[in-house]
Amino acid sequence: MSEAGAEALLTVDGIGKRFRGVVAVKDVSFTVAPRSVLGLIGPNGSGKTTLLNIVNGVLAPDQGEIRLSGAVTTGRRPSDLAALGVARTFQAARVFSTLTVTQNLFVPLLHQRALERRAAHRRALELLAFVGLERHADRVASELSGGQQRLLEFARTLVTRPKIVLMDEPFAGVHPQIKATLIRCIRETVAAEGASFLIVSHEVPDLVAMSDRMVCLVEGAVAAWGLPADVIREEKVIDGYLGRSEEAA
Amino acid sequence: MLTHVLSIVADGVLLGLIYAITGLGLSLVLGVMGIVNVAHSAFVMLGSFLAFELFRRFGVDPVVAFVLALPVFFVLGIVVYRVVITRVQSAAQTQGLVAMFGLMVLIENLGTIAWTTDTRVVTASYTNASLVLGGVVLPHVRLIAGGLALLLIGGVWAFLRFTLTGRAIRAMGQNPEAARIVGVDIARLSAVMFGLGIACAGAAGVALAMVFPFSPNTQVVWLAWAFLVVILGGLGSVASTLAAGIAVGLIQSVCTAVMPFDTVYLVLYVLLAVILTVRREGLSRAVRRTI
Repeated sequence: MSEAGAEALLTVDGIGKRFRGVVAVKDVSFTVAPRSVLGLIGPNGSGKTTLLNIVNGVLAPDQGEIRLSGAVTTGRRPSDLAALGVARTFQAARVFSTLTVTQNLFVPLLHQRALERRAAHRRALELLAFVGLERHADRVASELSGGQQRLLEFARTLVTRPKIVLMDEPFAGVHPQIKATLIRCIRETVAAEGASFLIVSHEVPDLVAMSDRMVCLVEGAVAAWGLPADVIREEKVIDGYLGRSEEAA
Repeated sequence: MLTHVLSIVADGVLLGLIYAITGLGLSLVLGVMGIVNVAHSAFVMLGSFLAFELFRRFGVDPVVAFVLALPVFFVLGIVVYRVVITRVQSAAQTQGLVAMFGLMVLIENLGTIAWTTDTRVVTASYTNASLVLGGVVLPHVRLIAGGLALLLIGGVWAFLRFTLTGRAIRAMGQNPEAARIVGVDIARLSAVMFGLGIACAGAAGVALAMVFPFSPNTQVVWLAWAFLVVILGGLGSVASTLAAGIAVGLIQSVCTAVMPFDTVYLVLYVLLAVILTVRREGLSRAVRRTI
């Protein structure tokens, strides 16, 4: 499954994964275009997080291939993929709790050259302002609220100018203001830096509004892939995930 | 009377600084990497014999040996990490423990072959000299060994706090998965961390050799001291390890002054049992998984 004429940034090609005989993901294929947002939806247990884990190298697929800008990345380590431009956030923000907010942003710079590192230091401070955490720069990360930790984790993914950011449930359980900040930051990052986003979320209306394309997984397989408005009208998506409203029924 | 008390306290603090670096590497490796390195004390023993051989063969002062021990044992630690730890890190916890125990036995036996079980001492020119301050007697060797230990502790603390690598090590200790995903090369950093732990062990061995007689078998006693400091101080915190080392030094110093020497160890280990019962997370309230 790929769009004719568009050179994909990320290609997920025929990915399959089993856990002790249970099929988690089966023959999943889709692409993410450069400078775009792809929303990944589906019911709990449909394989969304497993797929993210495969894309960023935490899990190895049983079959299929992942390509980044045409180069095969299947089987590469997460730290190698980070260096190639794949960043990731988690369902529960994973900040380094005893480091300060600024120090959290410096951790991804460890293996960069000194010159790049100096520029990245400046960028880290700019990113704090970008996500609205500049007043908290010297606070220990554990002192931040859950929503602020999510913003910090998001800013940390951007420090090294990734090509694609994988976000797992970024809007779950956060204050509407934090959610609005995240959506603004994602849109501005796509527009200003040309990064792409692959976002897993149950907040379908938000995802429909911000995504260029959507994929719906049901029972580990692709139920629909395409324009958001088309995907949410697909029978398989309605039956397998969204359900029908009472009026429609 | 006051002079006597001050002497006991000074002695305890200086000893405590040496105990702190004896436990420091063990605490960091256990706290950050989750590796129970029971071979830690074998490297401490090798550090003592490095000081002994350098002094005996070339007349190298133990202070110089202390400085030399750091890079030598750092490299040794990285070799051990690559050869042993990487093979057992993902295996069951017991397998890792048995491997490190085997390494400890191997090093001790090689030590016995090389140096026999005879007790050795390193007698520098200042070994028997003392500084007397207001009636308080401070032996030069303890002052120098304690000072070197304090410098090393300060250096390790500054490294972990102010350098990018140090902060990444702390990040790895808190959340290895997240550290890996933000691009930290966990294997490389783990090797550095283990090397640092062994470097601390080697330097501690030199400091201990300045103060105590030793033989290859003494390492078992030092392992107990190191674990005592780690259990009291908790895992992975330099400041808590320093506090725990000084506490152990003071307890030993006071007990030695007021009761028969044979009962000192008894008191320490009863205290240890009480601490483990009442406050199993140690002074710093830090508990962590182990491999």
